[in-house]
Amino acid sequence: MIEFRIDRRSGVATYLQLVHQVKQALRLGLVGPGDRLPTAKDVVAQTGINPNTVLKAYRELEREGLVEPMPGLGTFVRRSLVTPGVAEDSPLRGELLDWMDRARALGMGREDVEALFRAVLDKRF
Amino acid sequence: MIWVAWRQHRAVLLSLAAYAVVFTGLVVFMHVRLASQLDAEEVAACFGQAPDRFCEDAKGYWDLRARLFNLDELARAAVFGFAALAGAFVGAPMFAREWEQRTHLLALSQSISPRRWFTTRVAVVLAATVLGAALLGAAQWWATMSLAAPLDVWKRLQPRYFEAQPVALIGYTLFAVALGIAAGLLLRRTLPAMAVTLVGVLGAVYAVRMFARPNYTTPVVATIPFDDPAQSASIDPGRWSLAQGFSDLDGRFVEDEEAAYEALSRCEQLPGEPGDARYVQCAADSGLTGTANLVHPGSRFWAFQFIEFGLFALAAAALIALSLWWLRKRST
Amino acid sequence: MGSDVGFAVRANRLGMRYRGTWALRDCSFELAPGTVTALVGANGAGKSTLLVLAAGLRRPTEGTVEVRGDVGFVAQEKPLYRGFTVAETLRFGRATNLTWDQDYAEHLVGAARLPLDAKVGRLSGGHRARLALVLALGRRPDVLLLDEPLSEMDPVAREATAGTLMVAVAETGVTVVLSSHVIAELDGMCDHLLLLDRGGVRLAGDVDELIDAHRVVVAARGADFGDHEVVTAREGERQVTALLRLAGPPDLPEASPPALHELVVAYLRTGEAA
Repeated sequence: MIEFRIDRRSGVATYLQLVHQVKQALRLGLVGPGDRLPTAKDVVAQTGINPNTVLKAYRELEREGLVEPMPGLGTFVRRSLVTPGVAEDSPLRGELLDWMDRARALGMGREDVEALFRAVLDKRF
Repeated sequence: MIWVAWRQHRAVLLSLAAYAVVFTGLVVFMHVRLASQLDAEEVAACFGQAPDRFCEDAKGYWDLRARLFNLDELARAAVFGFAALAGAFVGAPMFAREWEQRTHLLALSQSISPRRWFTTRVAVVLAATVLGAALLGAAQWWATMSLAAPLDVWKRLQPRYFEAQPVALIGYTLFAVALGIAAGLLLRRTLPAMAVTLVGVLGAVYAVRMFARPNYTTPVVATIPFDDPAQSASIDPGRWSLAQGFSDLDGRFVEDEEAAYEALSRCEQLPGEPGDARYVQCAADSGLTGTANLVHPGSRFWAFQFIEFGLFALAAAALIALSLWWLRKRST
Repeated sequence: MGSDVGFAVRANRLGMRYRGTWALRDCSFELAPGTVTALVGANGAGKSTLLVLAAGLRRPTEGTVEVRGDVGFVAQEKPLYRGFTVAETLRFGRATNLTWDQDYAEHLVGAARLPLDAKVGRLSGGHRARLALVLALGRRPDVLLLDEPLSEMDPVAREATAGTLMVAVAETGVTVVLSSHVIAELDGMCDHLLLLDRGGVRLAGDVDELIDAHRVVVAARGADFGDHEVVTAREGERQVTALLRLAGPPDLPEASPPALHELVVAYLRTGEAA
């Protein structure tokens, strides 16, 4: 089940935060095609946000073709966003963990790793 | 809503119930003891002839009566006091406390209409307090009618005794509670409302006793003619005497006036006994035929009770109508 | 939520006078069903008066306010009968309301961990506030008017209450109006805003639309903002920070939409200066 967390101070609209977090869950494989998203009632009970906001987020996801509402039953995931390499047990993830351990052993701090990563990321993507 | 009304007033209504039970018990206890000191035949023989005469035969009874006198007065005052207490402790806080605690905002924002909220509470409270008044008043009535106090039935039209009898007492209770409710609603503070209620009830009853009750019906002139003083034996013992004076040639009442006294003292100077022909003639020459009292006969007791009840019940109804009108005017 | 059924709350030139001063004057607004409206303003702006009038507890001095359906109201003092127990309070709710959902009320009381046999007078302020809310919710109203509902609560209770309210909105479509003088605590819950300033309506409308119609700009002193109206501006030594109400498309560099509380504070500030 997806646990939503709303950051009121971030300047990002609440419904967009929900959209991001659903997509994140999809990417991580926490929910997959055929799974039901939490109902508006569930989300609202957890976060105290306006139910309309949840509906707005789900409508946006529907627009992007990721989910499908079934009246009376709920909102269901249509498409997976899982790309190979992102899942918990993927080899890519394992290699990244190894690499980080090596960087740490060399004495690099978090900021150093981040800077190096960004530099390479900008080069390739 | 009936449950709500009961629950809100539960404590004070139970206290008043205890009060009523205690004083009813006291009255019953006293009269049972008195009755044990008396024999029914003694009563008939002794009191039948001379109601005001002290009877040697029932010495034990009289001693006990003397000892119980203060308690008896207390019980009577407490019976009247019940009405005042009901007004001050049930009526006055009813709405004053709601406003003081701001719970009127709670109650009036529920679905129930202000009218039903008001009338249910008033009905429950009036029913309970009238029951208490009926109990206490009935005990007083029983006490006056019982053999244990043969003289008391003749006192019941008198002030202080009259006010403890059931029918009038119920009227006072209705009035006191209604006055308390109105004061609480209009002043919206408990202590001032209680004060206003106590003063108002005592003042109203006192004012009625002094100014209204004597005029419920036209009083009768009860004359004892100078030439027939034996008529004093047939005085109605239950009568309420309003004033003492003399009767004139037309049978009308003459107040105790200096002039009348002067005339009669001159008549007394004449040779002979007061009461003989010369005296009577002298008095008649001054326009006086006998001593007289302005009275209400004892037989008017029930009529007066119901008139007084009607007066106070009407006032109570007016106060309740006023209160309800005021409450509905405020809200939509 | 569908709002084609007209209004849930409508005020027309509403005014209330207390002892010589106008607490509310010439207020007109309309709230659609199913909306959650934040009623904000400084202390003394007239928020409590507005709610009391909408709840039908007092007659307005002038104008009208109509509310469609059953109205639940909790006053600022969150009044309760102190001598009653929690269970008796619920019974009071059942006895004085036509529609009362005892199961729902008991569920809410349980969720708030209120012991049924506790005397109301012994409960903490936060617990009393939650009980007062249970009474209003238990009758399943169509419109719920709450005067500073979160003010007595600790953060945990506040979150739980927000959750309870929003679930009620999700399940029943109840229209909610909550007042607060701390807008931050209502952010996220409300999709509508009603801003009062000294007895009058200064700003009203859908929150997203209002935010989208304004921009916060940081510019050099003396910069020209074109046709856009300056709501409030703060001048520094070399720059000025302004909140603008857009008169057309946002053609400004370095402009971002305001946060809700920025918007509210800005409008309240202009009220002060006026």
